[in-house]
Amino acid sequence: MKFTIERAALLKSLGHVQSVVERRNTIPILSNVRIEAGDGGLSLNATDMDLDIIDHTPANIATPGATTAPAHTLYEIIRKLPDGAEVEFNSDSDGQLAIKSGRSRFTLTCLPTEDFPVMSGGDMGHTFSLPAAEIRDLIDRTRFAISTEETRYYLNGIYLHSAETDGTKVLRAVATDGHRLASVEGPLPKGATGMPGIIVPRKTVSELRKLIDESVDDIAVELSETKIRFTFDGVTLTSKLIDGTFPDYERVIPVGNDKELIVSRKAFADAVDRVSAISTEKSRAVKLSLSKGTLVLSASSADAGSATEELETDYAGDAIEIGFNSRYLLDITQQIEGEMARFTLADAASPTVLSEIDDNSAIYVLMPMRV
Amino acid sequence: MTNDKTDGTLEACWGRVCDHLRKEIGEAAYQSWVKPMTVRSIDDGIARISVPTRFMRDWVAAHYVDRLGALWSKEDKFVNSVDVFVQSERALRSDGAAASPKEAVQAPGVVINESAERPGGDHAAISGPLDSRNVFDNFVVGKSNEFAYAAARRVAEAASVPFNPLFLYGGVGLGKTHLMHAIAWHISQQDPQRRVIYLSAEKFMYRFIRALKEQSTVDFKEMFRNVDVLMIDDVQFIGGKGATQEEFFHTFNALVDQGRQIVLSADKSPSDLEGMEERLQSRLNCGLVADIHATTFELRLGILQSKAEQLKVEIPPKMMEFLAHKITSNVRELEGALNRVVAHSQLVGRAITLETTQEVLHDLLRANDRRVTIEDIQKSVAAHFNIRISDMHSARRARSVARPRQVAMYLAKQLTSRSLPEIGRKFGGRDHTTVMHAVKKVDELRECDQSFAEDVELLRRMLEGQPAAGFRRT
Amino acid sequence: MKAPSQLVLEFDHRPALGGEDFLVAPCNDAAIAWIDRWPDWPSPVVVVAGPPGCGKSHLAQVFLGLSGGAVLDRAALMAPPLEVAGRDASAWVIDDMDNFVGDGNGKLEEALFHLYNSARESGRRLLVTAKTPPSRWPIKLADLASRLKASAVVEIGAPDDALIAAVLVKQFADRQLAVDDEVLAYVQPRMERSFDAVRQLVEAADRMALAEKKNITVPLLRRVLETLEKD
Repeated sequence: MKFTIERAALLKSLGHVQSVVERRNTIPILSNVRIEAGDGGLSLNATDMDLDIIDHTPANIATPGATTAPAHTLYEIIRKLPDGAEVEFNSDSDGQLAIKSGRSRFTLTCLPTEDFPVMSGGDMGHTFSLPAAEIRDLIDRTRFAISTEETRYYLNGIYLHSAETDGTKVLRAVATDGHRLASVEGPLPKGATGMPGIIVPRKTVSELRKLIDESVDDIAVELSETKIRFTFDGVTLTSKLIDGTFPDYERVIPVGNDKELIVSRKAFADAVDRVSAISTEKSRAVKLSLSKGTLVLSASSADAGSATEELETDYAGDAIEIGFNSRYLLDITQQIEGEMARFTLADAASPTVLSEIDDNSAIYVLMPMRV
Repeated sequence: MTNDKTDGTLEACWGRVCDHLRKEIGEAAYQSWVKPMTVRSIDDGIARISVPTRFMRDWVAAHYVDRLGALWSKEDKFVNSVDVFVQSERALRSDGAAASPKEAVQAPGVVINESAERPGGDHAAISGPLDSRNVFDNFVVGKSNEFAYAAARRVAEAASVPFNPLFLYGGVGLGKTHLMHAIAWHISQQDPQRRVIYLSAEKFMYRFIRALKEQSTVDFKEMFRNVDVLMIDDVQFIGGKGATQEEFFHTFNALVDQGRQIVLSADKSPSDLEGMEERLQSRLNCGLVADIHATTFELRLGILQSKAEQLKVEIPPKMMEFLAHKITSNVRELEGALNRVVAHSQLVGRAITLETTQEVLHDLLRANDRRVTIEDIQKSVAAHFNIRISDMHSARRARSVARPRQVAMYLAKQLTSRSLPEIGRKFGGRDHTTVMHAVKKVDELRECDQSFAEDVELLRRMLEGQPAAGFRRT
Repeated sequence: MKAPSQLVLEFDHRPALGGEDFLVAPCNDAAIAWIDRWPDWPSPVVVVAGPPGCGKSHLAQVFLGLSGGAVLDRAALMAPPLEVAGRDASAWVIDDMDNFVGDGNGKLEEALFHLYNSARESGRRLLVTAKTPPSRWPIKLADLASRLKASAVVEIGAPDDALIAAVLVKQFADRQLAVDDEVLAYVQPRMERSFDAVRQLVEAADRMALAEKKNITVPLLRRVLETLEKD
């Protein structure tokens, strides 16, 4: 195998695939990236057995062929080459990969390509396409709520499924860690009707999000009960899905909360941020005291003292005191796009719903803290 | 390598694997997870093992499969892995491929299917089904029911109406329905031309209401006023039901006027029926009112003997006497109790004894289910071994007190659901491992010391409120 | 002052209720034998009695699958005769009879009485589950009481150690929680040994782990046992 490629193009492509590769691997081949030079150019392939990425990029192919080399090492090498450099790759049958650029020479030990695990796509069954912006939106507004507890493997991802809102079919993304829940939806794309409800793992979500940061095109999505594949801009990302049952989340979204508070999102977030400075690192509890026309935020800590801040509102419901984890409040208010945020509350022990005033496509459910 | 290995080799191999594993994982885990496994075959170096539930498969696959494979390949180098799959007894049954051990047990003869048949004729559709066992021959007659029996026979055998109506009453489960069915069977066999309708008061009411709804009351009247014998069971249920009562009253009069026979049953005498109009009450009193009294011991014994013959089962006389003594409420419950014992013994394949009877019917035989407490156990065990209750909590280690204390801990574990730490606390603040040790010790002693085992069993039965040996007092 | 504590969303879980998921043990094998034997029963009604959490409803589900029967709830029972939903089913189930009897509802007792008769007449079977056997039910209608008392009753007794272990594991699995052997080995000899205690313990462990974002470990279960003991 022999080819040359411009450093920036290679770095970009390597950057796409190398973050899939885990830092520590018990199986050596999983530390490697599979490099294949063919008629269409260069394709790089990395996998952690659950998530597989292939990235295509043009290159000058002299001799087609394939090998595998340590992904992180290769990435470091290319990153440190000077901007604008041409890089030449040359591998022979003795398991060595020679890299040449300017006066730098590297030799990397390779592993045979036959050992590199291939993720079979299988029969995907459901195919549709979604604008990249739409996917970004679904991910951005839900990912913060994904559980990171390994015990809760069934919550370690975004639950993507078709649902119905007021008679309209929607594609809905839901994430929760048991303390808060985010539910965001958009129109159901053609071809997604009848798709199974799937849980897309956190790592896949975050890789995908990085890769489509600047995409403007539509993203092709294929999925089955066990796998999902995204194809865009020369990248094919295939991921296993979480083999678990997402809880029946709809039953925890309250519909009868009778107290409504509308506040300026920014004023509220700033106040929470200031007041919570006093609360202890661990609990971060902030108390909201609502009465006609005012909202008082307060926090106290046995060691540090106490803080309060008052906001004027047009709250007209019954007085209520309710505690929340301040970080959760900030997480959610950050997702809300409009100027004003709407809270609907029931009591100090029941879930509170947050949303934008005139956009029901995203709702956030937050459990209070007992303060 | 296929499964043409002899079963003996396969089983023996499996046995040794199990023994190893038992030592490694301990008895409790062994009992829970390994014992229920069945080795099915060896194919291509894979030992195939079945477990009864899906859940068990997942657990075994996650925890023991690798170890099983390793142990097995030591025993048989051709085996390199183990595959666990689900094969429930239910699955075996439904696909019919193999008979489960349970199915091999002969299906019980008792069972006592309440076959329901209807006598022939047009009116059959309206008439409720009759139990084929409810004939005069199967009715056991004693002092308490001889009058009602004689009256029923009379009605069944008479060519003309001897008295109208025949009103049978008595407490629940004393045989009213049996007599009604017997009359119906007798008549329909003697003279199939006679039109007999037997139905419950509820059905009568329901049919009437439906007729009202469907505006077919004319048909309804036609249907009921055209029979030779009308039998209505449990007429107390039309008490307070105005319209139905009204209709019944007219049907009643029409039939009596035409010289047709009416037989009724209720749980009370006509004068005591609640919500019944006076004019109807007096009509009900016009014929013969026969009551069935509570049973006597002799009658109950007779009923049990007759029932046992019907069921074709051997039942120890002592057990029948016991039941006749204990279940005095009514015949239905008495027969029900017998059925329960017989059915249970055939289900589990054990002989009927006084002890199994007490076990199966414990809820009927005892007035309440007071839970046994640790204090009860300490008291009983202390009394039995003649030591002080305080010795249950003391630190003394002399065997004369330590052994009874261990027995009490053992019984506390068997008879209560208290946690082991809590049992320990109740025995003078001992640790849960002490309780575990006591349980193990007592189990060992029960294995090797017959009289000790009997002592413990005696205490257990006493605490559970079962007479230790038979019924001594009644 | 107590440290503020996070409340959690009340998610439901779906217990596995298939026939294969039922844990067979000495204390419940007679009950299973009756279910398997359907419709070959000694009386129109078989009553399965046992403490909370012993698997009665699971057995009822298994029975429904086997018989193609229908569950009769309070509304179905109180509907006029022959308008009962599921009236044409091949068999009937009343789950948790304790919820039906005992409130002195004469109409309901009468409905049950007629249902019993209807089952007997049509040769259909009725499976009833309850916490206690019929002899303990506070039924006023004597005709009904004596019929039920004469029915076949099978009790699910106290679980043995092996079943406690299996039920523990199953209930954690039902909640999609993976627990180590070590955790089970710790908790089993220290907990109350009843079906209900297992249910409470697993639920409390799930809740605590979710609230504190922790794994299910020995230290967590130590605290769970402490809290349960306090209640």
